[in-house]
Amino acid sequence: MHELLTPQEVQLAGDAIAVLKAGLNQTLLDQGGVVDQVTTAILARGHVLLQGLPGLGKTELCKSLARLLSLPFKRIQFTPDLLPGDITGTYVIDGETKQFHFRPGPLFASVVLADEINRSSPKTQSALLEAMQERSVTVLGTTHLLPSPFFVLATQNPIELEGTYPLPEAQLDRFLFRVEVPPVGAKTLTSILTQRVRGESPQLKAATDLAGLERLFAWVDRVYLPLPVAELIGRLVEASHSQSTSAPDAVKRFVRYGASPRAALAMAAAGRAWALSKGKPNVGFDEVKEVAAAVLNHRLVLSYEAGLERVTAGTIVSELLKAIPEVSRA
Amino acid sequence: MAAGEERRRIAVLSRVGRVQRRLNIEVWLRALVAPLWVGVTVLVLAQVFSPFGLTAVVVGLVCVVSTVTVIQAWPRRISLREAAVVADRQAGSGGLLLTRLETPVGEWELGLNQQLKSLTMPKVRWRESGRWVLLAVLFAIAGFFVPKVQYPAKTLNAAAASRVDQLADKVEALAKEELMPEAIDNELARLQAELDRGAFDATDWEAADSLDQALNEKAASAAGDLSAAEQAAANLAKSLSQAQAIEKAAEDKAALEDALMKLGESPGSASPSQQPGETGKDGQPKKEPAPSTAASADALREALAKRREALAKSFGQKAGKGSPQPGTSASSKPGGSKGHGKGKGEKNGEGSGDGTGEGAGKGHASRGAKGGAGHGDAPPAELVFGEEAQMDPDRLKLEALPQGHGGDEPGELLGLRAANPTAHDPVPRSPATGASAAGAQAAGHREGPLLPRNRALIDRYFQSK
Repeated sequence: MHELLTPQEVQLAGDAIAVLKAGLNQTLLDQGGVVDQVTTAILARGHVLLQGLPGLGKTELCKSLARLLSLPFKRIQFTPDLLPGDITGTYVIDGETKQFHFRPGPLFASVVLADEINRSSPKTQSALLEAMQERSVTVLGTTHLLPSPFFVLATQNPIELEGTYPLPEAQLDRFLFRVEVPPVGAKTLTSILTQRVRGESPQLKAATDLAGLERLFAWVDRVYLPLPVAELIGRLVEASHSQSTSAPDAVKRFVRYGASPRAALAMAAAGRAWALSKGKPNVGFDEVKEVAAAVLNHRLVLSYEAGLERVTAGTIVSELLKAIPEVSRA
Repeated sequence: MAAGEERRRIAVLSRVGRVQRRLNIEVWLRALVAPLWVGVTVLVLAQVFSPFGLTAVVVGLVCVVSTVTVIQAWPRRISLREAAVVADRQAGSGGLLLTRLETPVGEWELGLNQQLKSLTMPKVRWRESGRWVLLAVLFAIAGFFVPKVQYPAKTLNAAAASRVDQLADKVEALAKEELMPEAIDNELARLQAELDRGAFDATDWEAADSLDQALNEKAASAAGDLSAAEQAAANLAKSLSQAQAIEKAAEDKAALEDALMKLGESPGSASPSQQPGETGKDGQPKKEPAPSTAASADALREALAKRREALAKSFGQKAGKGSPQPGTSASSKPGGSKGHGKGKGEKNGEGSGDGTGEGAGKGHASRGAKGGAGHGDAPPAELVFGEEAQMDPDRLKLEALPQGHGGDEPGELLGLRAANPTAHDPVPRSPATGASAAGAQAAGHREGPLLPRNRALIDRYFQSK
């Protein structure tokens, strides 16, 4: 029998999450939505793809997150000439022993910032696939486990697409969320100007340690997912395929490929994390709907017609949520 | 612990069940609207246009509407899980109610109960469906006020109906006389059913003709039986009438016997066939026995005539001028015939008096007749019969005359004895013939033709019989 979280546990989790969010909010002013999504993704042990214009604080957010979680942090600046070995690590000859030994790359960190990930070649991008899914790296036939927890926080610039390589669907699917970092308003800018001299980020204290983070992970896993909610997740993912009978017209018209089962798992995990963030011991329909856009919008492969009509994945997900009822008429 | 947990779970389920029932009302109402309207429309049309009864239509429509409603509503009915989702939404528990139905929630139970207490029932949009259902009911009620369409009777059915009615009348009339076979009733019922269904075809016409023929045959048979019974009844009536005549004859015989007794007591009451000087055993003149048959009556009558002739011969003028004349003697009888006998005596004793005899009295028929014949010009008096006499068959039983008193004489008249032994028969008997014939075989007036007035008298006498 599933042991539900006690109110005290939920309270403790909420407090820890609140401290984490508070630290991130100090980094990103008036970006509560982004902070919530990033926090949720971290609690769900998922990877995050931050998408936004340059200068919005994406990189600083990742750094702050690592500091708050007291986790090792590495940054990889993806460039077109970046090779897989540059990020995974490679075998080098020890001058003294005259033997090859493995030199870990920047992936061997708990928080990895893959900055401008779309500027590297698909070959290098593919080097992240195993690391993001299996939390391991295989070099010359030897598999090296990555540290746990392991998060990849990637950023990409939606403009300046010259010389970039769009991420393949397989890699996009490995990101739990794709978080759109919106531009900030004048009020936020004013706050930045008045609070930060030369734009330096505030000095953050660790919100939790590794043990605290592991405890949060365990609590997230104990968040109960009721069957009707799980059915809703399944029906949402199913309806994201244009071939599905339950797919709404927007999906049938603009979606070439729908979400994968990994998307359903990601949605459940994100729902649990988000429910815990909201102080609930169980996942509700609302949590699923609230994380659905961040989970699905980078997993839907849209058609050219959608590009022509400027239909975004977010619009498709909204239509999907409207079309799929909470109660299944089995 | 487990029992308490189960009670808490049941309490939550009861809340969810209420929501489920409320939601199902809407589902069933929605499913009912369309079939109900179709059914009501069909019912109203049937009520207006159908010549048959509505009971079968109503039953059929109820079954169809119910079936269609169930078929439509069953897949759409609200399950407990769906109701739980709605209840979870209504209570604002954010999935905790759904979790509670699947697993114990421990310390969250208290908060969940508080949320369930404030649970508001979901709004059911039953008004629209209920409005349509109500309108359907009103439509049905209004439809029953629409008069039925009267269809003109088909010519073929009218003729057939007339034929069937005719057969029914025949069967009813014949059933009063004879026991009707069940096959005829069944055939008539079948023809009536065919007529009611409007399926009276050529085969039924032939069947009607066959039935009519069979009824005619049975009617003829019944008429024959009736005729035979009627004949028997007529015979019986005739027999009864004859029996009354016999009784009347018995009365006559009684009167005759009285007359004979009187004759026997009188000096001249001896049989004409009796030789003078013959007497009975006791020395008294032999009494005449009463006749039991018409032949004997005739014989007696003839014997009396002979006696009267003999007496006339014996007493000649005296008898002709005196009281022995029928016309004069009858005047003294209760019949009251009046006459003044003035006829002169003749050889055969038939007087020709001119007295006016009236037969209104109750005198003996023979005497009345005699009285009527007493006057040639006067109209014959009506024959009047006496009152009913006591029948005594033995009294008038035919008895053979004793030996030596005429019984041994073949030609002697039976039952008669000469009343006057001293009288001498002036007419010599023929040795060849011996005794004269008796009864009906006796010859009539052997000595001369029958007078017309006597013939009329005799005819009237026998016609009265």
